Amino acid sequence: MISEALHEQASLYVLDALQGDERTSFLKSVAADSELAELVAEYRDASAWVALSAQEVTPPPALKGRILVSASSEKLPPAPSTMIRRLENNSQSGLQSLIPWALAAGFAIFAGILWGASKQSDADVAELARQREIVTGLFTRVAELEGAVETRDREIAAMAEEVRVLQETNHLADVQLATLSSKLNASYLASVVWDPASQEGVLQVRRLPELGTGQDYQLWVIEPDRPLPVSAGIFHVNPDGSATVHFAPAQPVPRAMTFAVTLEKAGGAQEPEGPIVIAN
Amino acid sequence: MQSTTDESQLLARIGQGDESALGALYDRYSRPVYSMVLRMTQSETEAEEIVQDVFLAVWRTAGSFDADRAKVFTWIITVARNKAIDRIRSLRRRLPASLMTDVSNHAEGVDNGADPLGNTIHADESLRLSHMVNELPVNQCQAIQLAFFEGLTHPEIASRLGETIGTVKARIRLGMEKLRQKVKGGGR
Repeated sequence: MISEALHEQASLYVLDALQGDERTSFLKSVAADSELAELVAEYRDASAWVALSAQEVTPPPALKGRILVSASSEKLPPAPSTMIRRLENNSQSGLQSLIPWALAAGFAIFAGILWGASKQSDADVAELARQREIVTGLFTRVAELEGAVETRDREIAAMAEEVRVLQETNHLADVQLATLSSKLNASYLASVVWDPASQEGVLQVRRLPELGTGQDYQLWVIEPDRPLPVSAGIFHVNPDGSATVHFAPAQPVPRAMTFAVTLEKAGGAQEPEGPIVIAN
Repeated sequence: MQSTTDESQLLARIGQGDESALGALYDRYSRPVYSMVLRMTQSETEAEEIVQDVFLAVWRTAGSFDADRAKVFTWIITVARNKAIDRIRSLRRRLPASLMTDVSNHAEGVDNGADPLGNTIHADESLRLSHMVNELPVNQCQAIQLAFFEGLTHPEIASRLGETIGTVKARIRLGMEKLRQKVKGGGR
């Protein structure tokens, strides 16, 4: 006769809602009592059906194909040495990190022995039920350990991404932004993002008039101490007057302060000759 | 639900490296597994990854799985749920509690496609059993679903519901006992 308390613990256990000492104590009871183990197996079967109370959603059609392709390319399970190499490649290498895999391997071997047991007599049914619950638990534990390793891999990848973003942010602190305006027409707009470190920039313009043949817009970078502006190339605008131009000045301009666009003859000029269209 | 002869044969064929058998098992179980994991993770990407992990785990271990004694559905659901809970708990560690939303009503209104072949697990018996879960008294169903889909412990469930731990335990125990009896009796 199984007590009400054990019924309660069994129902919580299969939902992973039993924790700490209570869980440890309960597992000892299961290991020693085949009737209780059979009860746990029944609760576990019942718990699986809770999954069906989720609203049904059909998986994407492509998923099946991906799984079959992965299975096809993975005819054999990875050897332990492969798994160890994988752990060694992680940032948290060392003997301690191998412990979960050693446990998993031990569980798997034990599970294999149990599952490989030959047919038993009717008198052994209860014992088999107990073993089944143990094996189910072992499979589950192996899956948990696999999941923990995967989770750690993802966390490491996420942290690496955070580092990359922080590095980019730090780099962006040096990037200059400039807004350009026009004395010819207030509707002309432009902005420049300029990276002094790489000596590259991006110019975006809006609502500049489209030019006919024989004329080009030319971008100039101006430094306070340099007598002449440095050309950063010619460009054209789209029919709607917009353009995005990646530019690199013809000479180094470590102290670039001003950006200006002039209207020049086709092909551009060595130094500004035409009117300034827009500048900061 | 004891594994059927059909499932035993499928598992045996999968254990021998028969990819078509894996495809057949996928057809049978992918929908409930995906639905469950999607509800738990609220992420289609995560759900797809977990479903893929689960069926590849089946592919690797089917040869050592005794479908005569075990219940394939229970096993697959258990593995999938554990993977989903790992991810949920990992997310909880990484995000402030204020950003964690209640997933209990996730996927309401999300469609689901037709099943023209009618060969998934959702046909007769399973549909009746899924209704059986929803037919539990609301407070029992709620406590069980918080544990099952969100991976909450009984103190966490008690806190979420504003009930005592004893009340939560009793609700789970009563609800699970009803489910157990129904499953034993074939859902009738």
